[in-house]
Amino acid sequence: MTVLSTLGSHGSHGSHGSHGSHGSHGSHGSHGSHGSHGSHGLGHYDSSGLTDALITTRDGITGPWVLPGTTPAEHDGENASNLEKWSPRVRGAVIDFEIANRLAFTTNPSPPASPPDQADDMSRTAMLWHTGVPSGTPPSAQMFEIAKFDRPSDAFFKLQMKYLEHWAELRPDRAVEILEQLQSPAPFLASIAFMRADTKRWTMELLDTVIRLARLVEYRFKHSLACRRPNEYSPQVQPIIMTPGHGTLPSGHATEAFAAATLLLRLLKDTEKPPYCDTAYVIQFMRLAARIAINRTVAGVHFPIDSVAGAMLGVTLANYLYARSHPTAGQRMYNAYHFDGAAADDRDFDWTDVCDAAALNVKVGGGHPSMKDYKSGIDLGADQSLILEWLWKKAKSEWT
Amino acid sequence: MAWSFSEPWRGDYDLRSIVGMDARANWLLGVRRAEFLQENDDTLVPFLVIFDREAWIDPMSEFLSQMNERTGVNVVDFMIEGYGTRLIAANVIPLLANLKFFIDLSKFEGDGVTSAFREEAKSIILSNPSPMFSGHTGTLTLPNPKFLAGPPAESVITAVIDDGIAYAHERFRDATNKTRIFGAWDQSLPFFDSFLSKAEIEADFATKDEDQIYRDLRLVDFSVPGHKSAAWRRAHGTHVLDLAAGFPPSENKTDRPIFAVNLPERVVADTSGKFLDFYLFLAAFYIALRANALFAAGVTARPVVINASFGHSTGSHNGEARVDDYISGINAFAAEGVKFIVPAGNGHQSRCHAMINDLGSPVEFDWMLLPNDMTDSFCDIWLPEQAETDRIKFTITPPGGIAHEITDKVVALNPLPAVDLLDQKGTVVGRAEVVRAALNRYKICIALHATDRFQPTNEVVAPSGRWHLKFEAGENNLTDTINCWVQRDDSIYGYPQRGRQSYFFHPDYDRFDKYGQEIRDDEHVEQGPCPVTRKSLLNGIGSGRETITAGGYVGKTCKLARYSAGGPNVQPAEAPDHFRKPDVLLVSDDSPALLGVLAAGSRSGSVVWMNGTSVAAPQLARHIADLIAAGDTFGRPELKTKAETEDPCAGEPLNEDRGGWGRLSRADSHKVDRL
Repeated sequence: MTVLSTLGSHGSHGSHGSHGSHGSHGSHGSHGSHGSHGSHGLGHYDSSGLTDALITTRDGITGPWVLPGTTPAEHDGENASNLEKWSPRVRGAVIDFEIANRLAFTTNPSPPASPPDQADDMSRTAMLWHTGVPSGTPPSAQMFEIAKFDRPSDAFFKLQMKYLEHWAELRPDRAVEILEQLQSPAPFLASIAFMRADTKRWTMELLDTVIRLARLVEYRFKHSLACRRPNEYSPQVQPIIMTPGHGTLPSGHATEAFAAATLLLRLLKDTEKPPYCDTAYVIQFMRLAARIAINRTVAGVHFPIDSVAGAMLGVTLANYLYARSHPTAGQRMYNAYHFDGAAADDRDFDWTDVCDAAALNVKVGGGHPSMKDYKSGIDLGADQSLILEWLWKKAKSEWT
Repeated sequence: MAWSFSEPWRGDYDLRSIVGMDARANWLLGVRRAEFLQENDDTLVPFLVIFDREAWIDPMSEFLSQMNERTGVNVVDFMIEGYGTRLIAANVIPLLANLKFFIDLSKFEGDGVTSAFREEAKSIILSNPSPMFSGHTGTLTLPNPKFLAGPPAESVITAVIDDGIAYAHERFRDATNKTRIFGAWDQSLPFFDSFLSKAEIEADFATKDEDQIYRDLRLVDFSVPGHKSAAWRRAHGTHVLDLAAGFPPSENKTDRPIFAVNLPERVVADTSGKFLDFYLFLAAFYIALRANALFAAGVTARPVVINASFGHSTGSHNGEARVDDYISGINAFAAEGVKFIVPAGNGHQSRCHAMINDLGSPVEFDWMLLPNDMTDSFCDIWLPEQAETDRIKFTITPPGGIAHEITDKVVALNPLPAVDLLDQKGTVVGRAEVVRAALNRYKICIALHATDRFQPTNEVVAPSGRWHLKFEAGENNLTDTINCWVQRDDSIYGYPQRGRQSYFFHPDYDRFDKYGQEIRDDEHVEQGPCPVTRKSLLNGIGSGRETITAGGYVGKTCKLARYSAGGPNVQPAEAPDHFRKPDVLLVSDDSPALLGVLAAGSRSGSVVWMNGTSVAAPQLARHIADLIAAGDTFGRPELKTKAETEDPCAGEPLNEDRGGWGRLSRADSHKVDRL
């Protein structure tokens, strides 16, 4: 159950049953198929009863010890195809390490001295970097931009409080979605492109990978920017789910939903197989991601600007992972973007303000004023990741 | 004159002195004026004036300009683009005025113009202020641009006045991805931004999704406050319009053009419907006006089918609905008239009506006010239409309080009787007033404060519990029935719960029989003479002659829907054989288990269920549009014949008061089967 287990870590589910009388629910329970990743089919390992039974069984049938005759061929070392042999939990850890070992994070200005300087604290900037191929001993590397965040002012968040009041109206309409979306966006993505955990296992692992990447990065940004949640601005927000225990911007749900949607779209496009490469899929996935993001405002835990920042980060991270997974040198390209909170104007979240559907990328100019270019056309060159390529190819092979 | 709302209302003006004045005037513009006027004393209050004769329309100009010259008075009227005339439908005129206007009108000062107005005005119906009219002075012009291109000549126009109509829905589009809506009016927006043309609605169909279109059209804009009905999955107006005039785009029904009006949020949120009339009138007028413009653009003039799945719980319910006064004006204005379809209402089991036929011994029952009711509660006691006074002595006793008495002994006198209602501690928590409803018709209007308030304020709350009502005989004999109605004040789907429905309580009113089954009709229960009754809870706008009223039945069982209200069954002498209320029944629940009927959700491609007589009315509207399209003559006699000959449940008995002339199936062109 490793593959999707990390998706459920938000934790506060369990309050089903309260979802209103609209009569449209009834599709709960379809998530069970994720469980087939594990070894459940072999029964109950590691129980004391079974262990006792295995001892007595062995005693009964082993006979005298015989030295091994033939031995298996040695595994190739550092061979990506070995990943298929490892259990999903371990594979996930290897992949996570592969991604994370090239990430770096800096802030500017540096974290404030104690007592914190108010002005510095308010204008916090945080940046995510890709570490290029390290060389030398000890290794040194060239750094490439991935994303930069300048947080909006406290006054700006206050301005956006009205959206919390206005969107709250839809709580009875969206409660079921909000609760289901506490967990993975995967079932919602799977309702658009045909995915089952048993027939598209590598695609699901790939989506889980980008979601884990999104988590890793978004929490770091949230920690650095440290923006307060809406219910800290007013006692009347009264969120209908437990407010998560971390900062509000960027929205994690927006980051993950847009990251998963974008990477899946990259994969489907890569297959060059109709209908999955059709534009209709792009619109549908983006609208889904936007709905997941907006539902968090309805629930009372996010400002619209959090979704703007999250959508930008999600699209950027998905494209970055795509570049790192690409088997062909010269095509390992991505763009870095800058969320400039000081440039934001007070508007509601609209995904078309942030995402360029045709380019599957962040939209700069003509959309949300906080979206800025940071660095375009970053080429990872010969910086190849066999591990990420392997997963990409496995996933792609499922869409034939 | 600067007006301070911090001052309590001391009754220093009495708006009842204006004959025909809205029965709630003193409550809304006196006791509760701070809440009602919201902004300040210059807030414009919309109202309809219905004159006794059309001839008084001319002196109106003089009257309005003289009033506007007075210090502190602001009165606004409407003009029609392209007509160059004031907006008037027969003898009905819509106006907006500030508080000072009404106060000046109430203080008879002997000047000729004011007194002439007071003599000619038959009734003045107040509505609630709306952001649509904020800050206007002078004259507002109702836009009426010419249509450059219209639908085919043989078209039949359907219009829906509702809440949450999602204009861009595919069910209202043709095969070329253009909308069939030739005009829409969103009455929640500022007046000059509130009219939408067909071109504006369909401008972005090809490039934007529906969320973006509605945000641009400001139908669903979460940057502004207020309820956004079209943001909900189940949107009342979209469902209703689909039932009335929705078709798959592939059918390319270009000969079914549509007009759509979304009523203001504040009007919809008030379930009593007491503020409906002004906006309903303007909406219907707009539809008739734009329909005439389509006729001018080449469409053959035919009756316009208008559905308004709304209602109110006020009115005399005796066939004299005030809606008749202004719908007849609309009827006259539209080239070939209108067919105005409304629901019977869902209040059958609401316990909001009591009838008193005999005062040989006192009649007593309770008016039950629920705790945590954040809206004011109202009850009307209609006295019989007869010249004698001193027929009743009425006392009302608050929970734990003292009895307050009011009689009709002095109604012929001036001032009309009124009494402040005190709670246990002596605080004024409500008011009972005798109000003149018509020439020889009086009613006692009781208004009570909410039983709960949101924040700790100094605002008064009325005690919840049993308010005891007692009726005793006066000097003269009661020769006709006294009718009492509680005004609806519950909350509707999607809107925040503020009001809680008060109701009458009498120990002899049984809700369940001895087997535990719900009792559906007074006739089916062996009970003592009980003043609280299920009779005549028909929608207040549905009881008149100008409206065609649809009740609801359960498709599978052929039985009346439990909520579908019945009428007074008053049959006018001139048309006894084709007048019955409600007129006919349509399916409002598919079966006892499959509630409601299916129709469009707020976004293209979605389907939701909705029930209530609100969904019966538009099905009838569709039938009527089909009949008009087929060239059939359509009127009440034809509807009676159709219901009698096409009843899908022929043989199943019909209830006299609730069943109308029979049942009709859903139109073949809109049938979504679930069974």
